[in-house]
Amino acid sequence: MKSNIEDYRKDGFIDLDEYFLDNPSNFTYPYYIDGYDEMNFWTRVKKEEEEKFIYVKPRDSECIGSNYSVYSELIYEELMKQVGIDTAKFDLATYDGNLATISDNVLEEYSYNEFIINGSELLESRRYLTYDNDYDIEDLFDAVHEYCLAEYLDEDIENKCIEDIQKVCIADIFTLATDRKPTDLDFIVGKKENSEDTIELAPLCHNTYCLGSNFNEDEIYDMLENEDMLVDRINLCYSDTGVPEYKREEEYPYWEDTLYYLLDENEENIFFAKKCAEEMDINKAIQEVEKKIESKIPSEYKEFVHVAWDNRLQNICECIGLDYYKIIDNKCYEREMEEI
Amino acid sequence: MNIELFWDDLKILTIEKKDNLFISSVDSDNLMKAKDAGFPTYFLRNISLVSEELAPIVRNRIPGVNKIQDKLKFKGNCSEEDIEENICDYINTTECRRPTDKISIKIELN
Repeated sequence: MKSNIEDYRKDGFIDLDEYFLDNPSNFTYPYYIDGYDEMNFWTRVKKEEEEKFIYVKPRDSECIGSNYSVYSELIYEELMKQVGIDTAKFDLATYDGNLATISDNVLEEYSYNEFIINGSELLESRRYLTYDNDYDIEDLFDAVHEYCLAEYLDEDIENKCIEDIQKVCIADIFTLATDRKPTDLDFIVGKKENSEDTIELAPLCHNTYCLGSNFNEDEIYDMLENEDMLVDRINLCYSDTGVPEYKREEEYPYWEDTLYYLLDENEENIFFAKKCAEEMDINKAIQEVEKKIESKIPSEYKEFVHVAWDNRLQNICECIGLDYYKIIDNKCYEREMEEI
Repeated sequence: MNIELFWDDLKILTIEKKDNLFISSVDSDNLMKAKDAGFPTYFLRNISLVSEELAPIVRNRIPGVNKIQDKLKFKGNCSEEDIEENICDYINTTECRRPTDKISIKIELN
């Protein structure tokens, strides 16, 4: 009988239903956050000959967005790898008749006294200062600052954590992420192996809607037919971890305003934005994903991702004064060289 | 109802539910041991001694009542005591704990 979870892959997807049927002794740990009940859960499986925890995120077929969100999560992981941002390792699965993604326990490589808290726990101290728990990025910075003050942590630790949050926000603009609320970021806290207290941004685990997967299949088809519609809709793709409302300038789309806010006299962020423009390669990311799942991503979604990506990249290049065509030429040249 | 919060095996916080109030108390010896082991005391600083709301550090780690009722499929004629007992059983037996967490919750009926 098969016992490794990888042996249950069919057409790119790991069949969890069949795995649980053959290996019924597994426990599942439901995942709850702030009293909100999600379909997601933790479970223990045999992977790479070892017993490991995995986090399962089934997609509700009635939820917004398309079935492509499972692919976008994997492509997002590859894009983040290209610019050095840690994410959980994702894979495709099916569970209870629905498509799903599974990811590893990102804490496995850490020492025993570190653990992960959700951004909402950190933001609890700001709860009474905001309307309807509508947090913005500055609330998150303030919460990290308060935590560091309360735990007597060095300024360097605080600055590193805030810089990492800003980098994720910049990368999210490139990847058209629409689902990143400040409460969706996780943090590793506790004591490191060298007995130093810490707070650092945890590898990213919640990237459900990005690269246009917040649109359903019909909308994607319409956008591929109608360029004006595509430009308008892509401009509306932004995550909620952005510029605070009181600093908002209405004449720009929200994502552009956030980009200006993050890059404002911040050399490191400007450097990182340029790095994202030059080093994130959507073709390469898609190829890597297809290699990993040993199957093809639906061609309609691939076509849409390319068009949407190019549109956003072109707009970002205009904002930060980069030559879009030169970047594209360089990437083509690199690809040709690799093929040779 | 008593709700206990553990860091590994150390019981740090006990919350007693009386009528509609949650009354919290901290075990100071265990708290200091947990703090030395890496527990950030930051998460206890917003907990009121007496409150109508359950402390967020506990609330974030237990399932909502709807979810439990869905799992246990309560029947219409179930008494409130039975429901409460079933909820406690469910929380204690499903180990409301994530693999990425070191905090766990136990609930006891008085």
